[in-house]
Amino acid sequence: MPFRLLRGAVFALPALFGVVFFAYPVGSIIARGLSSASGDRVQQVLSGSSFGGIVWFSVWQAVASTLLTVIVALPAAYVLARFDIAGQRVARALLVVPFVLPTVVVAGAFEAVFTRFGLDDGALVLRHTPYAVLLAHVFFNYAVVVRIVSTFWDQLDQRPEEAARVLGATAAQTMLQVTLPRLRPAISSAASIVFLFSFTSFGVILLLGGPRLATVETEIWRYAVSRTEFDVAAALALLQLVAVVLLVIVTTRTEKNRAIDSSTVARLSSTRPQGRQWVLVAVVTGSAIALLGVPILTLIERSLSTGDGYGLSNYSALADPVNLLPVSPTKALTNSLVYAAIAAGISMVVGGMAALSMQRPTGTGAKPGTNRITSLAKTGLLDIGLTLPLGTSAVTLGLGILISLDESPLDFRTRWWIVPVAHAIIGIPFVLRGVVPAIRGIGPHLREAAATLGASPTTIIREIDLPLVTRALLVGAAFAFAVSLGEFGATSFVPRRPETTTAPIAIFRLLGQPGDILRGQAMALSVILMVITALSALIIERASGTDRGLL
Amino acid sequence: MKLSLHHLVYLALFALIASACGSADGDIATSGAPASSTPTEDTAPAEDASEEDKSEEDEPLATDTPLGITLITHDSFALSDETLEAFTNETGIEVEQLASGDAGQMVSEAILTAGNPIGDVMFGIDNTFLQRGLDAGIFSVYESPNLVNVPDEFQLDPTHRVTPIDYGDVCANYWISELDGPPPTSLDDLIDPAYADQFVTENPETSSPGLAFLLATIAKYGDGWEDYWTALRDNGVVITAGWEDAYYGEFIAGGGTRPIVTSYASSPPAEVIFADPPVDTAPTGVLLDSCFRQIEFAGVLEGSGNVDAAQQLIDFMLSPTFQEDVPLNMFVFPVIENAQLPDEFVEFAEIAENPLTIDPETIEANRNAWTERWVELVLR
Amino acid sequence: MTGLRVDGVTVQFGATTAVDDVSLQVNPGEIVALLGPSGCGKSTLLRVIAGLAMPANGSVLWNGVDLGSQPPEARGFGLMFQDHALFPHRNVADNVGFGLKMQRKGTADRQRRVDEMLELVDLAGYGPRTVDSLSGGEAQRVALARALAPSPQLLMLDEPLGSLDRSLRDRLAIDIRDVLKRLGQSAVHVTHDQDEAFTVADSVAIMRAGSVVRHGTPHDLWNDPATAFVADFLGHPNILDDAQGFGGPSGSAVLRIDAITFCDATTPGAIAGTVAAMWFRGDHFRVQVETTMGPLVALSSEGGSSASLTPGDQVHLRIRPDGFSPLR
Repeated sequence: MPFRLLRGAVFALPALFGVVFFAYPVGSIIARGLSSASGDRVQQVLSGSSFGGIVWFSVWQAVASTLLTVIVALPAAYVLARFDIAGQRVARALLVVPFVLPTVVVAGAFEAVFTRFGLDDGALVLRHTPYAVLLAHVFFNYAVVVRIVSTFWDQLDQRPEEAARVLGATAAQTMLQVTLPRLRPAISSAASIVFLFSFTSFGVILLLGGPRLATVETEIWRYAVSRTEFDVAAALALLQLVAVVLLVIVTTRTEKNRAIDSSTVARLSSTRPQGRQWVLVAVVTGSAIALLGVPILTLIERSLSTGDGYGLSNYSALADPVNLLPVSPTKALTNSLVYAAIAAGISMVVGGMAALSMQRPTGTGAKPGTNRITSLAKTGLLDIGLTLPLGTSAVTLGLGILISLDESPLDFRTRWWIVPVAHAIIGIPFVLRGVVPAIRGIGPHLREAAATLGASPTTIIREIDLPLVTRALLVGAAFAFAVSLGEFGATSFVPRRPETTTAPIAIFRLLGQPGDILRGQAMALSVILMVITALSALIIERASGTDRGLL
Repeated sequence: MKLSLHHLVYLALFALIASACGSADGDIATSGAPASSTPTEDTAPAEDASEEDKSEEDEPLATDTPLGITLITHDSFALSDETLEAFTNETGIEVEQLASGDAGQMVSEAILTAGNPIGDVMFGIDNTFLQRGLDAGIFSVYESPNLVNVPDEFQLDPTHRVTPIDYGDVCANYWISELDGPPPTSLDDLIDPAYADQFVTENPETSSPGLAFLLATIAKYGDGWEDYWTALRDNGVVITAGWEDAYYGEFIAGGGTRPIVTSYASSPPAEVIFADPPVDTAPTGVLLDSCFRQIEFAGVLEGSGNVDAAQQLIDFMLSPTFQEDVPLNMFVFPVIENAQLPDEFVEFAEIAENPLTIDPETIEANRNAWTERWVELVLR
Repeated sequence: MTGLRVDGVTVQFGATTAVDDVSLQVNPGEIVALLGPSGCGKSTLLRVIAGLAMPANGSVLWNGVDLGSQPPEARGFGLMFQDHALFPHRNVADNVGFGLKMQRKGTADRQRRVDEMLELVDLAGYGPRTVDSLSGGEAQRVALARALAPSPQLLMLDEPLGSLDRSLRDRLAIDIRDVLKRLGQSAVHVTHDQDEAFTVADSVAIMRAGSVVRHGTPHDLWNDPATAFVADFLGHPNILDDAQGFGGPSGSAVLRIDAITFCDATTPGAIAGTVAAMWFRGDHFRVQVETTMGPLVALSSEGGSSASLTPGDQVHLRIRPDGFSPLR
């Protein structure tokens, strides 16, 4: 029965991937840490006077970052979904840019902006405050909410809105009482990603939050790396994991409980904005430029600034080998692109398969009861398991890989491909969170129609499911690509060869010594990385744009 | 029945992946990496060389690859291309490098992988982390004959588990043209109201130079260090997470406003070498009274599958070829007495005559308590 | 060649029994309508026949062969959905050609068959159109063409006209019967609309609460509904608890409305009554008449003598004795 096998594989491959590259390493490092634990010390830390505050701040800043990002990004999602405006595609592509920027570079740009606008000291201080952290989190995650929500919004049947208007609801009432509830699966998807990102944020907290702020994430790092108290670090990591598991369970449940409108309905094509709608478009564009544009423009300005005014010398210098870098900057960029392509590919395959295995079970009366429940539990576990890495400390995963994937047949820790694989682990949740709602939105009748026309289950996946989720899959892949380009996650803990130096690592190393030339080149390299990201996103955007599919 | 079918699927996939990885292994030809692939559970390392070789033979792809070892470094490690090539030409030993975060992270990882290390030689553990590595037993003993050229002051481990390779000083730097008055000349100056709101340094819990500066104050003031930091705080010191945001964020160099920063004694030459436009003199100076000496060591890792080659690499690190390549790549000083310094270093780099130091055991014994106390004093 | 045989099929959803021991025969070339109120289990039975649902008991046989747990794609049955379920990512021709592609037909064959099918449903030239540019009626015809293109052994239609307006429905029902008969297609047509079932089908199986309560030709069912439920569901207005007073058999019976005519008081056997209410039905009125033995509903044609009736008028009715059909 080849389909049984395929069905098994669609579940088993992502499950195996998750177990080998996530569950086993993370489980190993936590078990190792806890097995050596001196209970007293752990208890001493956990009951310490400052610990409650740290947990509180970790959750508070993540919740606030999430709310703020959603509030700021929803109008933009609306504009992108409902209006037909020139340059929309480019705007979508540009949104992803902050995602790939090394935190050091972004923090520097923010600091410069603060200084310029007098926010470093004076009446309104942002520098080294929680508000700087929130601002940076909105900066990084704006694209997540805009892209996920607008893609979903775009597919939404407008008739319920029209019905509400006819029944006497104002535009605002319709938005609040009809549209937002219907958007909930997408908003909750995007919000859970933003929360997890903010909850495990590291560089932003340290660099922009200043030395006084600490989160569970930074504490895990401090205990594991700075103090080598692995037992305390493991206890904290476990705590973090439990918190994240709970959150993921809650959000995946909201996604599931909200049945998504069957998407076979006609939708209206976007229109050009009219009258007062232009005001909204202008406000959204203006706020996006203020939020994303100002730090990025600061960066561009810095990259162009040379010893004698402005020029391109920082860029031309990148063509030559730099003393402090083991590879040329061009090679570093190539490495980044290759890794990102591999990571995006893995994310698409693994995340796509996992999403397929989570398609809503069709209501066949066949063997009801336990079997279906175990299968739901299994896919639920897969869903949670593959989303979890986003909320797991880079320390936990990175050190876990080091100590667990160290022996045959899993002797992977020093293989070159473990780096793109680790990137993919963070990229998969993006694919999953994007594709699962899309795949659940495919009406069961479409599959049944195909089946009665002679399509086997395998063929149905190829002919119906995949074409209909292509867009969501590509949006997810674009994020996975950007995640990898930006070197998120555990890879800083995975040892790597100098010749595999990527652009963000090269930037970091250039900023590791004093000197205007090095700094200028680091900024130029960052700008090139941004341009490459925008171009890649544009290409992916085009690929998904040609598809006339609904999702 | 159903269960077994599922298991079968898993097994098949697992085999598929394992074999795919195996073949990828051959394609990428990661030159042996014997330390990571040598089983260490049943054979004690270095107990029986022929046994080790035999397990090498078992590796189907390892037979034809040249003898290779893996060198673990921190992220700041850099050398000219020719240097390691010279070693390979000389000895026939290929060196593969693996970089792994900063020195602290590298040591943490080495402790976690003790017994089954990812490489054969570790470079870059400094005196602030040294005792932690020694206590964890990650190094095996080797006394290089080349140590004869190294002054005693650098040889902190009398049992030779680690070998000193380079050193550098962490000191307060100042931007000469931006100071209102004369440059500070002592640590005491930094708590003088004349230098109020001018100094930025790094958090010792998250930054290596930050820790070095804290140790400098402890070395200098003993128990009085707490009072010193209270005074420093009152004098408006700013703390950052790392060197990057101190030097490029708060310090004048990157557009910040503060003219004094904790950096390295080698920072002025870097400011000259990487200046734009070129300059004749360094824009920064070093407060020599504040310098804490960092010595970087290398050692053969316990569990290395290739101890002999690893020891040859240690010898090479003390050769003039390696030692003279170090300054311009890592902005540190060679430890052997007969090494030639590059011109920029001769001209612009200053070496503290009497740097502040604390012995590694004392550092390790007190570090966590000191940093905790520091947090209370300075950040709360 | 014995066609489709459904044998004692039972389907359960948890504790509820959706289909209860149903047996049904569809002869080759025959169109059978499954008629019943919503929730009676007719769609579930259809899904069992299609292989989209598995029965807890009973079997489905095609030409005498038990189809067992054969998956839907292997059965060679076609299915047409109420929401038409056209693939939104494919144009009309690709939708129609999908089943042929599954049969690995060559491009030229496919093209020819698609054109033929579109012609059959009166949509010649619609091939390159996108699915969301179709009107409801057009989409339904495309769905029919798609279901017919692979020449299914049996075509199943699940409320195919349910979402269309009345006039379109009447027209399409005739079209569907016409197309199916021309092709000699065996078909099962599920609907809750009695008019539609009578228009399309050769025989009608009436379902109630998971069981087939009656199966026969539209004519037989109409003339002999046999139970009060069927009579009521088919729209007979005169279901009498006791027909004897009206000259019918003793006991309960249905009196067909066409057997009642208005007459003079002098007509032998005339029954007197008073007009209680009237409903205009386009080409006729329905008139409710209160008689001493209870109410009766009669037809009054527009041009006839009874056209000017108003409530309260005294009238007389004549009942043809063959208009009674006893209920069991």
